[in-house]
Amino acid sequence: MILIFVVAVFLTSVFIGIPLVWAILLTAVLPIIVFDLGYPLQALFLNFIGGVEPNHFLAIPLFIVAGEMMSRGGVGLRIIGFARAAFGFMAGGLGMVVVGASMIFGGISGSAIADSAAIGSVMIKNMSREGYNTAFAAGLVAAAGTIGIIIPPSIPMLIYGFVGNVSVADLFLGGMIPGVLFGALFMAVCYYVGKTTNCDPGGRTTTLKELTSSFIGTAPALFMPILILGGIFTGWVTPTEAAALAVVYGLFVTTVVYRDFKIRDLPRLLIDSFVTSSVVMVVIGATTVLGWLITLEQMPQILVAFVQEFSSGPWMFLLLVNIVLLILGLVLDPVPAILLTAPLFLPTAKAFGVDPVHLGVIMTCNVAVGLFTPPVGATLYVASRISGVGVLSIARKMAHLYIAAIIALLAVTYIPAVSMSMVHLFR
Amino acid sequence: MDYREHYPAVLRWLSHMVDFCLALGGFAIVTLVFCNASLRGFAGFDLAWSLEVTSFLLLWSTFFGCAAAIARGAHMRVTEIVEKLVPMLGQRILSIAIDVVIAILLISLIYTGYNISVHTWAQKTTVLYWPVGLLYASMPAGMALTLIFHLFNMVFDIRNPVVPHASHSDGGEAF
Amino acid sequence: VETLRFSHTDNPGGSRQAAAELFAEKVAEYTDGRYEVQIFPSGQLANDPKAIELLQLGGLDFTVSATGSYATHMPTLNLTAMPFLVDTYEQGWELYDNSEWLQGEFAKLPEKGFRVLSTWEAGFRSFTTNEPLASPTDAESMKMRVFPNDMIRWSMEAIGFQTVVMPITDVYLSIQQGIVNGQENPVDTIKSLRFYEVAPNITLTRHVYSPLPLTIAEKTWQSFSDEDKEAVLKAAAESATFSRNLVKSSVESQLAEMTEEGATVSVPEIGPFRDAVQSVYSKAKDVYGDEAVDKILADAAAIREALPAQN
Ligand code: NA
Ligand code: NA
Repeated sequence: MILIFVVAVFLTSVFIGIPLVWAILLTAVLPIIVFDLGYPLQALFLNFIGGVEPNHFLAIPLFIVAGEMMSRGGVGLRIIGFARAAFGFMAGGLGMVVVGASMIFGGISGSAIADSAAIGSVMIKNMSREGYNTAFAAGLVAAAGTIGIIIPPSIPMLIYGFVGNVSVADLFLGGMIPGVLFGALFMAVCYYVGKTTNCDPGGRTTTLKELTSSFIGTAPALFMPILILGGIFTGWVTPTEAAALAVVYGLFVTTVVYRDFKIRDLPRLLIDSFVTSSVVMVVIGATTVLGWLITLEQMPQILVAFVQEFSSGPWMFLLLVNIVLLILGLVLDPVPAILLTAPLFLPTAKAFGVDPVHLGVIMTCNVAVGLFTPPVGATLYVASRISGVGVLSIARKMAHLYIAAIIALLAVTYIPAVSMSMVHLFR
Repeated sequence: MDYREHYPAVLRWLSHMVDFCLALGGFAIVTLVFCNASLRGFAGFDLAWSLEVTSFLLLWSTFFGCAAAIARGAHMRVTEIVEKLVPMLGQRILSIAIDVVIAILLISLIYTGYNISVHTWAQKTTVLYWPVGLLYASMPAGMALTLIFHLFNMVFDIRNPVVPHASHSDGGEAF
Repeated sequence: VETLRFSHTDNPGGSRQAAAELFAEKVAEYTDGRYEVQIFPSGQLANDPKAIELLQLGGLDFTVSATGSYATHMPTLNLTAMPFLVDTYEQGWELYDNSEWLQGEFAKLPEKGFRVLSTWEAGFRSFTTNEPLASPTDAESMKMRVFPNDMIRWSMEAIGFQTVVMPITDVYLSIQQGIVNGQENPVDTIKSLRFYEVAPNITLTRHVYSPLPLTIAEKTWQSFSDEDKEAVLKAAAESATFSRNLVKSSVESQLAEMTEEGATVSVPEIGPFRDAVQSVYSKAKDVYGDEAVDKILADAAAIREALPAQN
């Protein structure tokens, strides 16, 4: 009953145009009043603060600042020039650069939000400059960014491992092939879109000289991801610190090397970047408030119990895991979705003979897809905010990406080898 | 839409002050995180207090950023459905009704946020012994600024017809 | 039936959940079903500091959390984290149940909005590192993760580690990526958060006794009749006994399981570690005052003498 009420209030308030942060807060407050649930507002709203507080969220504003710095000057154009020279022979090459960059970035960060903020702030503007539909560019960044939690390291997998007493090392191994699979399918979508819409048809030939000169021009910018990767792999810095390092390095490159950014523009840039990240952060905070109510009222358990009525074999069970998580993923972020359902799914999975590592990878892939489905999806918000295009307009342009994601999901769910072969290889 | 150009002088000044705080906070965050990483990498020690100061700065800049965003009309929303389905007059009434709902929410956030802050003032952070309530005061303070801007935006919305979403930028000049 | 909400951050298979289930069962039994305790594990409702704040603000009724988490509300509780106060579980139980000084501190908590019902077990803190750690000399080349707590940080620095403060959720990845060489926690936590996978050298220094006071919101407590207060206290005491025996008796099997999965367990010579941390006591006096420190040290010394270790 409350579950239906919550869904109804949420959808209505979002669709009549209440800004998301207030719509989500309203959805959390109304049921408490209407059903007289007796939760004090003080306790409820403490979660609004608590949802913004986690220290690793610092990576959000920092990567937005770094990306903004690199894209304001001519760095973005240089990167495009190089990407064109290197990948211009392929249709959809620039889109593939986004996916490839997200996969590389996914290899160093455990957060999909940081991933899409870092890539999106540089690439969305440049893709639309090159003729891509801006909404598609934003959608691609939102979708590709979620590979960040499938390719290890991954914060949701870590949480699943802790909650379910499953080896995190095995989960990380299990995520590798699925991450590559998602990436490959997204690249295929880029190829298709580039070819059919003619925004990026490929077929361009590049001389070696062009390639080297564009590479030399871009090298200082291309060194940034190497610096971030290297910094983290050598254990010098945490991912959050890597973001700050990227800001400082970006400042050095744009002011000293390229000389296309002036220090006096820095305050403006900081303000714009922090406004952008605040818009995303308060929505995350509001989601935490709603998540608290959803947890207290045990709504996921109700949903799972309802769905389990129809379940009879492992095949059905896994499909139901997909369905439940995709539904929850519409309104919940990955970590709460996993925290709430893992204790329910794990025992059932064991009963059906499904390996806990396999289940963990399935669940992670599902919540990853939830991140770019409207109305609630953190990477979708990031991309929407960076591109200035509405969430629904982006989602409308994402049909092919959703199809690719569903295919990848089904493969991960029903072909255990996709997640388990790496685990067996190294176990 | 960006309401700032329609603000009277006092509000404009306030909006500049919020922006100034954001720039300062942002600069401090970047500097602090960078210095902590460098010190650990090169000099071999970790600033134990940097975690507390950065989470203080993150909270305050997020909720101040929320106020800056409402002045720019930059909060994310779904406008496509109403613009397609609802007639202009309906849109105008709806927009005012929504403004009222938001104002009520903001007032309750400020009120409860104030109580939360008072309740946690005696609690001290673990390294610097700052009042936890000082961190949490960021929420009611940010929401109070948000409310001030929001009330003016509401007056503006009542006086002026709704501007279709497509015809205005959402205020983030950066993007 | 009135529903009471109990939040903790242990996993569903962990010892806190088992004790919480027993507590819930006993509360229902002793209050003749007037109260039902609903348990929310894994921090799904709140992390440790937030859970305590929710007790104060009326969003929760019970939580169970390390003494250090309560210390932000009552700084002197940090003194329980001074190194090597007690050597055995029995001494630790005596300290938490009967130390005059500690009982006096607990008695001041109700004015902060919550009160201690009993103390559950988590065990002694020990190290897991990615390189062997046989003595303080080995520590000199290592970076040690510490949670944001003065006393622990001072101890680690005194042993010779370079310390890095970070939240628990970042620790696994940070060890894997080499940002830190290791961390220190009770065996139970080392196993449930799987730190031995990335830092397989488990060194049983047992440098701090670190149990888990069970607390109730003062508002909830005052809403009970005397009879119900009695019932809840009885349930709390029984769940504490259960938790203490469970954790104490499962340490060996947990260590064995981790060894089977590739970890190396060692007991170092404790003397050099004990000598290294002497400076912490005087540092504690500078911050918390001579009187409080002397009192808890005296209580602990008396307990160590009354209940000597059996080896
Ligand atoms: Na990753
Ligand atoms: Na979603």
